[in-house]
Amino acid sequence: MPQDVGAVVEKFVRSAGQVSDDDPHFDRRVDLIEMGYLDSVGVVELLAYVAAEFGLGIDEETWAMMDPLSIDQVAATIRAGRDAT
Amino acid sequence: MWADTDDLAKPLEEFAALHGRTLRSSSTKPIDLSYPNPRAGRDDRAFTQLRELVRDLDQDDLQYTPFGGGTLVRRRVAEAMNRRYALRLRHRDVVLTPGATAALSVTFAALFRPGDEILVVTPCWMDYPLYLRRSGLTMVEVPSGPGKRLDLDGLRAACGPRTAGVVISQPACPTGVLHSAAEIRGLADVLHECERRFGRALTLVSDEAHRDVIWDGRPVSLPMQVHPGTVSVYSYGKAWSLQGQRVGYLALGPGLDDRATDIERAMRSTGFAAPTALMQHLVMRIADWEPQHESLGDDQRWIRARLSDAGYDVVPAQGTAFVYVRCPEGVDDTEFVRRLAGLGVLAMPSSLFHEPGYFRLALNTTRPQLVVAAQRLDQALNR
Repeated sequence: MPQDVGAVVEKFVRSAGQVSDDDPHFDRRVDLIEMGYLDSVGVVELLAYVAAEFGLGIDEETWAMMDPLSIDQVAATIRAGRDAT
Repeated sequence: MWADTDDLAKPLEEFAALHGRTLRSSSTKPIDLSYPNPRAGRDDRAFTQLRELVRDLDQDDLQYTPFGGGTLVRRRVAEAMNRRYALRLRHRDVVLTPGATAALSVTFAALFRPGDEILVVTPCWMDYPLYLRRSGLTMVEVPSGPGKRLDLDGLRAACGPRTAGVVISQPACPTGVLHSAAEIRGLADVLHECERRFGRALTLVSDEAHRDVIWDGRPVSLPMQVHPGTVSVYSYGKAWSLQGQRVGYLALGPGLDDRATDIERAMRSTGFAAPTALMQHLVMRIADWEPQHESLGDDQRWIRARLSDAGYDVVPAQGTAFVYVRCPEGVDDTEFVRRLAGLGVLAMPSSLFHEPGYFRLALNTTRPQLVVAAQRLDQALNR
């Protein structure tokens, strides 16, 4: 069964950002920095997590270009990186 | 430059001298009801969390945070306020400060311009005028009305073309009066009317340092719910009897959502910075909690009835640990506080709060001590 990349990223973000289960504003489309779900340390940790979990090194420029920096965008980037390999 | 504030700084320094002399006196065994440092009836759950934090955290957890505080804790505070008061704050609207005093000082410095007039409802917390003057602002006193409630007509009449803001406290310090939803709505209407009349947005600074010290169970109405240009100032220290740890915040209402950068710059330029990393970790844990004040409520009801029976005129109130009482006819408040000190009760004269003729008791000790204090207050009345 294919891995639900978005669900994996969401689980990490919920834990790192201490997001409550009933947060009405949180979803996979929100900008994680703009909405305060991740701080700068959290973004670095997410980058490291993606590299470890998916075996993908996403370059800094790609991260910086993500607008919004959402779970959907991160998941799409991971899927694209996988397809390319 | 500090000499410019001599007249505002000295009254408290003079009271501190009386306070020190009285505490050194061995004849009266003084009961100190002046400063609100509770020594009894405290909800200790936040303190217990603090103890656990010290054990749980490692050194990595105690590093620098941004000037407005860590992103996640700001979000946690915004979420807590949104849940309790049906607001829509974002993390950027909340700036963590080393106590409510820093929040007030930074607000005045960042959101107003030198020469602006600021209306301040009196009696008021002692150091608003000091902070306003240091920021080059002109304070216009607006005395409260009967029962020390908001005088909306007085506020309307005091508004002018140079008025840029209004300062109130909710509940009020030093009186403990909790402004009702209707009064807060009325205040918002007055501000709106003045904004239209003079073509200038008005910022309402709502000092809510005692917001979570409501002992009669009534709900708190927040000015931010009805006036978008409101800054709410809060103190976790006051709520949880950890005043010395200096942790609080200011929250910007939706009408001020473009001023967060100004506030963060003011934090930086004044050198206040955010609360310590340790206290920010504590806020992360307690942001949703509400302290319990059952024993304070019991003491408030008891001493208010006791003093009224003795003949004192006690201002009715609903919040804070304070009891605000009129001095006997013809007796100056400073003179009466000296008389009380001679009998072994330390209280604060209302002149410190920019109103003559009253004194303030802080219920910060045990019931047996309050019983003795009440007996001494009887003697003061009969002298």
